[in-house]
Amino acid sequence: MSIERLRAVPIFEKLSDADLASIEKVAVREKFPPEKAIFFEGDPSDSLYIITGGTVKVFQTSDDGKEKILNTMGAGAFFGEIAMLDGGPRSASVAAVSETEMLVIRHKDFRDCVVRAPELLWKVLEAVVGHTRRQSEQLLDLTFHDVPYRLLRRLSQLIAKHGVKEAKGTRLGIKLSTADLAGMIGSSPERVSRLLNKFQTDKLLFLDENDAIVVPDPVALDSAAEAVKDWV
Amino acid sequence: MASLTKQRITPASLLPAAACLPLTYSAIAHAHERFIKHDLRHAVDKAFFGRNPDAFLGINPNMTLVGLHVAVIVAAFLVIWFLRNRIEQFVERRLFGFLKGKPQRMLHMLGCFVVDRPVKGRIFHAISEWAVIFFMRSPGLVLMYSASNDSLVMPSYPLDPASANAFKFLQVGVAILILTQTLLPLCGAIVVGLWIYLIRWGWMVSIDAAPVLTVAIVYMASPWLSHKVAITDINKQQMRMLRLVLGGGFFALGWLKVYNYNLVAGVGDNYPSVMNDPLMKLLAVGTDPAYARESWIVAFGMAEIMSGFLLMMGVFTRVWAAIMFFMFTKLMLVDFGWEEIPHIYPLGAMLVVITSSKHSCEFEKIEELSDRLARQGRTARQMLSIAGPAIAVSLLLIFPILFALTFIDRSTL
Repeated sequence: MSIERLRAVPIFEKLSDADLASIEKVAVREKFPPEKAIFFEGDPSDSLYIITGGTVKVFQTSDDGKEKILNTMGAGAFFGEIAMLDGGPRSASVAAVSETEMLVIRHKDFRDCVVRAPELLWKVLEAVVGHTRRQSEQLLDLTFHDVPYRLLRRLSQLIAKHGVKEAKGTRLGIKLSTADLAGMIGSSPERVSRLLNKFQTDKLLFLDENDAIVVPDPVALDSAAEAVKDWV
Repeated sequence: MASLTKQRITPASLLPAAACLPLTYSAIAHAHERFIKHDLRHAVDKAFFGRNPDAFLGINPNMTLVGLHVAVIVAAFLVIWFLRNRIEQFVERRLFGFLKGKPQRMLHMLGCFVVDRPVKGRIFHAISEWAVIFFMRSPGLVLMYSASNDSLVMPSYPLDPASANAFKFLQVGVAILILTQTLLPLCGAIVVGLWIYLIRWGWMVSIDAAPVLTVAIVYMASPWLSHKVAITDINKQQMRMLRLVLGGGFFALGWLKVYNYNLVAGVGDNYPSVMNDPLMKLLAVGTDPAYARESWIVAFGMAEIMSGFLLMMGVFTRVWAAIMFFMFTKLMLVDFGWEEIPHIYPLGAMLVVITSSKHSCEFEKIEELSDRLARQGRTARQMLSIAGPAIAVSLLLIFPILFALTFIDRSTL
């Protein structure tokens, strides 16, 4: 990967050419097809993954095999930082949703890079803090807000992150089932399915010919979320 | 439903066990005779098991060879165990790196099963829940069976006709409590009490029956209002206790076989099929054919010592429990037959161990050190931190006790 392309990755944007050249030497480029698990929860951890193209889902699996999607990530994001820092086992599984390309940096190489470019460590710290912040927000949502708000808010976030603008509105660029959405907001697939039908009736969204969620007006989705925020 | 069992055994649940102690002075069950025939048809060479002054450590060279085989296997298993994560990653990412989707997850679950990590699958979870229910209920069936056969727990312990009725009703009462999951801590205490009672026929009998303590521990760690909860899971601490008792029981049983060699030889004489086990043949490879029977006895004992020790320590727990489950089922169904049906309760314990996702290991400190050295890139030190303890543990496991046993004359047992 060229230095120019490396600089386009947010985590590396402030590094010098010399630092980028050293990263180029140690970073391994890997491609993952859709449905390929990059690693599983509990796996030993040794590497940091930086997405340069495509989308991945971060999920946990219950004892009886039910999946709960915690997050989705696209180009520019990176993951695996927590387990790489503390050496513990992976806290969640990550799988490619679409054809995904990423840079993989081993723990030992990352340490060497950080010694030369401490800015890298700040970026990783920001990600760790962001992770903690997201968890706090989710906890607050689960505690204080009802399912309609949580679903609208999550749809709004997903559209902002993975939305593809089209003539009829913004299409959600990743395929998620009602069970996936239910897992993300701590509800049941049945409840999510009923709410999605209601949101379609309210013209907040519709399903296209490929059953992908399309939001005609993302601002209206945000407004609807605010409107149902205090429902009990 | 998730486990609602207690986290630990409380003093309150131990009190009934203490109350059962006076039973040891009772003379209700009058005799201990092994149901499995073990009368010797040919004498065993007792010199084989005694001091051999010219040999290394005074141990018969054939015995040393079997011991060495076991030590090598244990050391190899320990080294593989300490490197299991790397091996698993190599298999999943390199050998089968082309897999994705469901096949990749199936392979991952298989890997998790082998290296004792949680297996997260709907069917495995359902079997795991069923195994706990089976394990918790099967002692009730055993008690019902023994009551209807005028024996105490096992056919090995026949009841005195004068007081048989009282003991039969007692067993049925406890069985009803177990089957209805009522007052489980009391049931656990009674099981412990019965086990203590067996000591009156000698310490060897109590070691023979030690696996019964596995279920007693889980009962005693259950809530007093056990009838109100669906116990379908056992927690990590209970699993550790179960593993230690089950593995420790088989470890002790293995040494008991080497100690009481006449009994094992007698079983071999009466049931020749038990001598055709491939694992025991492997352990006895290279021994003098003139001492085939004696070497088989040592190999039989060593096989249990090895599997019991690795199970006790939490090294490939599921694999060893599965091997033992298979061997035990074969012994019960093929070699000994219907009379050994009460052994369904240790089979239940093994099934719980096989299907549990709450495993831990007693060598975690060594693993932590090894992982730390690996992350620091100190490969040579990491290998030393693995190989050193593996070799030391495997040798200490076998030879000190084997050496000590040569000083004890057991020919009259």
